[in-house]
Amino acid sequence: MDDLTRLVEIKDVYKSYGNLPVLRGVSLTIPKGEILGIIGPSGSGKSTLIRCINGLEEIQSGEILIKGQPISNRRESLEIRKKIGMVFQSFNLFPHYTVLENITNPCRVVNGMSKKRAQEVGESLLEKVRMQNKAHQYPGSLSGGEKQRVAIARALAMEPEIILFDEPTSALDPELAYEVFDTIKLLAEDGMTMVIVTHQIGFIKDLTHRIVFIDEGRICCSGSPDYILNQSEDPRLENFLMRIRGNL
Amino acid sequence: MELNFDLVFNNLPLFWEATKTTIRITVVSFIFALLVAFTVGVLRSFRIPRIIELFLASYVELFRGSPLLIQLFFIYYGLPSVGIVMDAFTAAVIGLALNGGAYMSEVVRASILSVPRGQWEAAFSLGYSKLETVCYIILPQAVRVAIPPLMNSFSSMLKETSLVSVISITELTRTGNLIYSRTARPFEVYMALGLFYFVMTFSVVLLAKQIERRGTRWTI
Repeated sequence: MDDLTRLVEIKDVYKSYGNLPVLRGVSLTIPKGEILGIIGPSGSGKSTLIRCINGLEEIQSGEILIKGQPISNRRESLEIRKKIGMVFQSFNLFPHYTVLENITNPCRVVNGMSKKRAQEVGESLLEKVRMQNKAHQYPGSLSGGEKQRVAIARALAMEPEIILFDEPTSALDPELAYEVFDTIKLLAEDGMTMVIVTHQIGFIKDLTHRIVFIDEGRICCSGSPDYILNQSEDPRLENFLMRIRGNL
Repeated sequence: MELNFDLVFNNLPLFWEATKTTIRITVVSFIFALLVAFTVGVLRSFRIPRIIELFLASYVELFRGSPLLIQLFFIYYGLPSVGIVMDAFTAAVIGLALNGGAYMSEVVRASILSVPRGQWEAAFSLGYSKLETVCYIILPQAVRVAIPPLMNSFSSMLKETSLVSVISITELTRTGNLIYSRTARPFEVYMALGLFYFVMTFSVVLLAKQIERRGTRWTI
């Protein structure tokens, strides 16, 4: 793998909240174009890991490189951060802006686009996630699935090179989760690099190229979806899969 | 003793002039108080150097923890001893603005803290700078939370202007006192005064309700 294809490099990252260690030496390389699933029990550190990738959490030791540039310093990483899209479990749309303005405001403020250009970008992105008919409504009036689709469109507006999904469907009914994953599939067809943290392994087994299983702050095993979900004999992974399958 | 409200009606032009003074002091003081409150409130909701935080916290606690009357006396009668002399109107506005600003900065701070963390995180991950996040994402949401309590502060300030009568500003209360000393009719005079204040504060309450109703274009 040469330098150009290594989009994200995570090298021996340690992170703790006070005395509580969350990540205990995680190393992971994400090449351009990969769709990576991250699974693991609650509190295993999987959300923390992707929050570290875009600088939402500071790390205590180790290194995270985006296209060879470190992201450790929050202030200097503004330009790099823009290239890393993030979709949150709780959507985090801006409630005081309409659906369209949720996309046009960052385009204008962060990217300095003209009003007209931002409008065009916003409208075409809403069309992509099939939300154009609600462009002028406020997020408060949307369903959870619709909110998440708008959040995906908003992340796309910054033309990111990678999008991180932090349990994007955990707050949704299964039916609405499907519509969000359909949207994520659209991005997959465009070749977007994505990291998806989720409990819903049913959704990601056909979508991802690779799945990483994290337990107690360490990468326990990783491999193709088929290997992870069907063939691995790691006892902790088996135990985890048994529990979440039991819930389905 | 029979009551005679004629003296109120006869003095209406005087009361009207005084009411205008009261309104002017309230509005000017409130605008300055808002400036103080937003500056202090926004700064204090961030991690700022300890020395600045200590200074701002002392200001807020000092002005909330001592009587406005003493603050007005100090500014108007006390400060000239150290060479700071100002006219009564300026002293009144400074006193009311600093006192109101201290209370209102806490309203602003609480409103900013009421905006969920996820809003900061979303703006951060989209590449907004800290200042852009505050201006475009946090303050618009915080202001909506702050408007009802700030309207309340406006009413309080309107009533507190009655204290500036002690530094010889001929606003509503002092005008009432003057008319009382001339006519010796406290019942009629103070009842009229109370009514004038009530009409003003009640108008503010009605206006606040109107603004709250119109402000619900979006919901969380």
